[in-house]
Amino acid sequence: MAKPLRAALAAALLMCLCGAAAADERESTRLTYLAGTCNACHGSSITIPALAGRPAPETAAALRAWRDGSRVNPIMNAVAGGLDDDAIDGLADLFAHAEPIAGEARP
Amino acid sequence: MNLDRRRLLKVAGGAGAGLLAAPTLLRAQIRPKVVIVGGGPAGATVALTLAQAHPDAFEITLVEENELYTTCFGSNMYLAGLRDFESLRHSYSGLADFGIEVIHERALLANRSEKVITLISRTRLDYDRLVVAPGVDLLYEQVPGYNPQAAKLMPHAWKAGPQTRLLRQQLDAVKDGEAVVIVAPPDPYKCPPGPYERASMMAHALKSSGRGGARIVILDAKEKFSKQALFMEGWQALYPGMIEWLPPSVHGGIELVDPVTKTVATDLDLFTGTLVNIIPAQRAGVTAREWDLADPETGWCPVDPETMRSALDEAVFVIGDAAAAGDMPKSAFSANSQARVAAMAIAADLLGAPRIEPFLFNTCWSRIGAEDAVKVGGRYMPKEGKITSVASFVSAPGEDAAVRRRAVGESDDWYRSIVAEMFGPGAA
Ligand SMILES: Cc1cc2nc3c(=O)[nH]c(=O)nc-3n(C[C@H](O)[C@H](O)[C@H](O)COP(=O)(O)OP(=O)(O)OC[C@H]3O[C@@H](n4cnc5c(N)ncnc54)[C@H](O)[C@@H]3O)c2cc1C
Repeated sequence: MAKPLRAALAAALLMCLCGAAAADERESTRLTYLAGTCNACHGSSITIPALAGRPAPETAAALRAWRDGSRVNPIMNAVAGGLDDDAIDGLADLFAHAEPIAGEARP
Repeated sequence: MNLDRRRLLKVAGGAGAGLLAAPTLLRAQIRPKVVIVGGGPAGATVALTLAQAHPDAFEITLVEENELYTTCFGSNMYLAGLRDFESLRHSYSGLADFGIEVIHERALLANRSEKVITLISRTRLDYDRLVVAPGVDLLYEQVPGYNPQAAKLMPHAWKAGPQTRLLRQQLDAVKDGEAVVIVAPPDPYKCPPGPYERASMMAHALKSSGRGGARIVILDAKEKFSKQALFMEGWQALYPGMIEWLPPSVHGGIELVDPVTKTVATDLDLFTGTLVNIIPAQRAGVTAREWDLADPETGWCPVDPETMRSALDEAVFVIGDAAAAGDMPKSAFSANSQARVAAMAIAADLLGAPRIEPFLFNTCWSRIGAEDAVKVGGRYMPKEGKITSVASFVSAPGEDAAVRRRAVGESDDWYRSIVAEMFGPGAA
């Protein structure tokens, strides 16, 4: 993320406003809870890569590679195997716009 | 979504915040009540998840008898001197920021037909949904001669706190050449790899302090155990000759333990240790059993695998170690995952939120050496009325040292993450 933080946050805010209005409630609820599963390990990252602020295409591509097995990481292969395309794209988007947790390693 | 709404409030301020706050006040009078008994990874996570995912929508009360929660997870590393005791202890005070009321008392009685529980001070709490997450109880009497009094001489340290410290003191007092005896429990119990991680961490403590001549004997109630090949390989490599594991087919069964002489009598032989660590069989915490939420036969609480709802009461959810959660092991990670599933179901019941298929996951890291951790885990789904494993993984024997070192870092990250999921972002 080369953008200055303030600009990035403002952009994120705008996207969330539009996104939230458009998103179907079921999907947004589902994503909120799925993101909790991610946070159970990625919530405070030093070794495990941080997700907040990571560009959505990058996260989505990684999750797809883990799901189809072209990238190997036993934990992530097992997690991603349970995600459909909407979940992958939705989570990638959600984390791209999430505030990084203080003190956490940047992706 | 919570993340976005919080940020919106923070950044928008002024008019925007006022607009959003007004309906909150109106709603306050009719907010549905969720009462949670037990503030471990199961109970604390369900409280925080509901508060964060549905801000101000519920009146949430968490009843937990202890003011500080001491994690069992990480406690073996405290034995090894790789963590200090204070790092295992966490306060609930951050939950107030999320509007969660925490009452530090023991919940005693439940009147489930009237949906009310009574605390030890006679305080009555009524609920729309009750979450019961009391963890496990230890079945002392299943080890002949063992009881809560004997545990002051032969600690179990399977509930973290004073017992954990006692075990560490006794370990510190073991001299080179002396013996340690661990009695390991039958399935199911909390943290399947826990006793073997404990043996590893005890060996690390002994060996790294010039007591490599000490011996650890594990008298097991099982013929095999979690991550067995990995532990055995690690013990051979890191602590050769220090740890001996004996299954019941070899020792023939525990006949009696004597806390005064610190002796364990088995069919095969007498085992005497400077330190004897007895981990008894387990079942759901007494609160769940007294409230008739457990199957008297198994001692665990049957639940609907889609929602973690008690099979015996629509208004009650049982999560974490106390639940009969099918293929899921009893771990803090599982408890956290189940908490999220229960939270979704509670929001669906009380707010009309959409019902969503559960996503259940677990990973248990175990430390074999200071720089060597292994992991086992998997994903689970409801199938034929039971939580069923649908994907699983386990570390491979002979793995690269770098992979094992990295797993140590992963488990440290997980510890901080799970603690933040329980007590709020400030806690990690
Ligand atoms: C040595 C050891 C190592 C472990 N390592 C790991 C690990 O690395 N990873 C992992 O995932 N898991 C690990 N675990 C397992 C983990 O600690 C448990 O699975 C987890 O704590 C279960 O959470 P819970 O919320 O169901 O129960 P608990 O954590 O036992 O919490 C229950 C809480 O309920 C409270 N309570 C009970 N009854 C009442 C009542 N009537 N009124 C008020 N309060 C009440 C208790 O005080 C307690 O705080 C380990 C366990 C041990 C023993």
